[in-house]
Amino acid sequence: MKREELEKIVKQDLPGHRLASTAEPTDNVETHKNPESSTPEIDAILDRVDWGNDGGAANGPVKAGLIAGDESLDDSIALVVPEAPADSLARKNRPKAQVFSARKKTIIGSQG
Amino acid sequence: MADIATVHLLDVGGADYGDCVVCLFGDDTVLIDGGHPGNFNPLKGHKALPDQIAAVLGQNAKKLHVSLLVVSHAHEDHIGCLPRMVKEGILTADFALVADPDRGWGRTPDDARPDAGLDRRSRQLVMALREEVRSPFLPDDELTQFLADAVDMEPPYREMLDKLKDNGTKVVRHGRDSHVQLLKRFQKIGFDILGPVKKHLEKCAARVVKGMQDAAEFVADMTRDDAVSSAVDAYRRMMTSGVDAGVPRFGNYVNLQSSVLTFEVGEKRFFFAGDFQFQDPQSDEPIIIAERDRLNQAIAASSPYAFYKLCHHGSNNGFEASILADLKNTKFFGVCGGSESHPGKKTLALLEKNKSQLTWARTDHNRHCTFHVGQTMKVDVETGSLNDPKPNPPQKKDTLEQVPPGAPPAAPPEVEPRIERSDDDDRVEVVARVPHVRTRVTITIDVDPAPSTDRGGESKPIRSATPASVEHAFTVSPAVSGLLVATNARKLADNIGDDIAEEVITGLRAAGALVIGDLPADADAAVAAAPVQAELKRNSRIKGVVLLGGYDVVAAQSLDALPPSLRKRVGSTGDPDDFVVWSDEIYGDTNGDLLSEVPISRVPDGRSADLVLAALSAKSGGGSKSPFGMRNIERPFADLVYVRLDSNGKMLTSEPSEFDNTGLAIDGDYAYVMLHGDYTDGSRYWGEQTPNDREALNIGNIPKRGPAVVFTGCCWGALTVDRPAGRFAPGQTLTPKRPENSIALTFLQNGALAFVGCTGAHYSPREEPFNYFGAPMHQAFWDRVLKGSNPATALFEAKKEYMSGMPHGQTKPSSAAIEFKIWRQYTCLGLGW
Repeated sequence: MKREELEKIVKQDLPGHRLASTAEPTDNVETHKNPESSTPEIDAILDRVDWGNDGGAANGPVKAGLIAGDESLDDSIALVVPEAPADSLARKNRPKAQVFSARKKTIIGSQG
Repeated sequence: MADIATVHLLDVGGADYGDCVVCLFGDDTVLIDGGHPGNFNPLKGHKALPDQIAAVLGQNAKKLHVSLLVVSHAHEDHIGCLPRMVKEGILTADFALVADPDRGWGRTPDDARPDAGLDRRSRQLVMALREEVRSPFLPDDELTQFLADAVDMEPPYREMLDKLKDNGTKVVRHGRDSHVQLLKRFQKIGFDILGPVKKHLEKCAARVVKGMQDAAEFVADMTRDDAVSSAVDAYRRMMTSGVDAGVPRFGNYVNLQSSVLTFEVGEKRFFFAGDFQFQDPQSDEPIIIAERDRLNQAIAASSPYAFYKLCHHGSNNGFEASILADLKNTKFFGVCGGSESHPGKKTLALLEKNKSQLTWARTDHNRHCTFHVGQTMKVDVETGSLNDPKPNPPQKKDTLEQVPPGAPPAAPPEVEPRIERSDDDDRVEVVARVPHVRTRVTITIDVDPAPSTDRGGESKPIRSATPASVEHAFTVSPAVSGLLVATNARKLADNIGDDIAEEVITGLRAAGALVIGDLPADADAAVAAAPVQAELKRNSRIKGVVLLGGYDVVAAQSLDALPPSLRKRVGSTGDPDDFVVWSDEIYGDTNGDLLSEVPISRVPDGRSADLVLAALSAKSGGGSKSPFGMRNIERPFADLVYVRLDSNGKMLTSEPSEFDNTGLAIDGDYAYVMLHGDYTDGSRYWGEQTPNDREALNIGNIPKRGPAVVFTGCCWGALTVDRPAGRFAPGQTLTPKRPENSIALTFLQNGALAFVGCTGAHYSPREEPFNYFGAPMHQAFWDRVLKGSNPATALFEAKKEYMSGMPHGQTKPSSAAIEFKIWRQYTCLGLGW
């Protein structure tokens, strides 16, 4: 989703907040993309794991079509901060991730 | 049925490397090598070799006799204490097949000795280079002994050969004397010498001569301006300067002189080859390469073997997959000795990879190993478990200061300690003045106040049975019966004290837990998990795994919560962890999918003996008391979870609730908390819109006897170190959180059976009916607890249920990624059972 679109949704759903600027670090520590391991592909997991007799796997992510195909309609996760925090240094006021629905044009989930 | 043959790999102690093998082949007894010189006596809890040999042979330790004595090659960790045993009349033999000392020490016919003009310290260094390389980071006493043995080994070895002859032993120098009589004598036990051939031995000897010359020149140069350093310091300086500095190493040419021997008894074959480097001779000499290849073919032609002793202490240069394949149906392997690189990681990984077909034992972890060969095979080990794939940890390098070559030894620093005692706070202040020059100073402080003033430190580890064990009437929970508890006892002891760690492990075992106390230290989770996984595969009755200790004791794994295909599609996001989380599930994974097959929980030590003792004796509350619930005002979904716990109750919300409200009392058996957390400060949780951003809850709110089960949806609530996995890079240091800066650890220290939470940022649903992101996990967990599951099992089952429902209608890649993160990051801290 475009930034303007996200800003509009923030005003609508989270009054008193704004999108964190791209130059606005969440803190002074950079993230690293070097995990020791990764989650296997979901079909491989389902092939190898006995998920019990509740038929869960059959209704699981693969059958349900886990991931929609159109990338342009992906939801967005973006950082939002209070516009006028009582204490900008307070840890709770650091930017927090919000989940924006591409289809509904609303915030459907929040960090925390 | 009686054994056809028995092979004993004897315990050669904790020093690097070393071989000593006793074979019982019918009426004939074969002793191959003699460990280290120091093995003549008991050493650091390891039995003396003469005593071990006597026990195996059923003879008097003062009067041992074998049919055949073998010295595989002329290294001190193989010749070992044989010269002394022979000299003192303890050991006699009918025959001896021995390494030729002239070739082993590179003595030429003209008796030119490159080391002849050197002083003792320099000769020690030269001879050390002829031996197996020892780590320069070994303790002083071990290096001192090694250097002395290296330089002093040749004369007694030669004397031993003379003494054997004097005693009537038929001594055969491999490649020098005729083997005919020897082979004929032991024909009935199928004795054969596959090699190496004389041409190869001569080439190796020539390279030893050259190595001695190069080493003598190198050492002379290195020590020219340094007449006062000890041999140990000079050795360390030499070995830390690296091969780029031209340090000549030629121990491989002694290894390559190892006799390659086979025996055959009752159609069972046995293989021994000292330290021969079959995989990598570390030589480009065509004669040597050709002989290595010929031997590999000959060994393959004689396979399979009932027993195969891995060469060169299991080093990577002695073994590889193609060699294993050539051994066909050989299933039983033994490894003698050990060090940082022996057995090699590749060798261990190869064995581990083929463990379903193989059985191995190793004296560095199993001590005395006995292979009983009959119609069936049986392996007994003195300690530990078979098929142990753990590499040995590296020697600590931070104990040394790197001294540049030629640097004069520093004068003893002038240290003037000044000690002051404060009457106010019972602390002692020590000031030491150290000269501002390159130096190293060791300061030892013994504080021995009168008993009335000894309160102990607040945060330092407890080193003996101190307040922790007095305060707690420690009884391990009976729920541990049938659980596998995994830890590194030494690292745990570093954090909570030797006595407490021992008490805990003893208590766990007494209560029926299976304890693995020697997980590899300083290893990544994949390596550390291997013995746990192996035990789970072996024992299907294990109900669950409890990791005992923080990440510095038992490593957690940084895990990408996303499958690779989803990772590609998500791209850059605002997730604070980039969807990378700490996970313990690998410890319960027996089929390689990084998902645990049994419930996993972790008791982080928090550098607190009190915490560990409390957590391991924690009990379920039963749920009879009213639960506690508190949520962020913006998280109404939590109410729908909480009604499961208390249909009439209501969660506190923040705003308005704050930590100092009089109505805030956590006094139930269950606590459910849905607030903001922060990874830099685990001591408090926040709501929304509180005046001055005051927190909703902090560690001061946790009662001394808190709830039994705590479940949170707080970001990083179950993070027990200072860095989330998504912000951790290899090489960085992880600092464990302590109870005083972690709500989770304080709950555990105050008696909680479990604290279940996230190792990364959590996500909550904002749209009704609130049935996605964190909500289904919260519901599934509490539903199972309320049905009577213990929290570890409840989380295990809740994860299954959550996964089966994923993505809970969130089919876009970024939202599905959040579901994967919720699923992977939830962790059970505490005993959980």
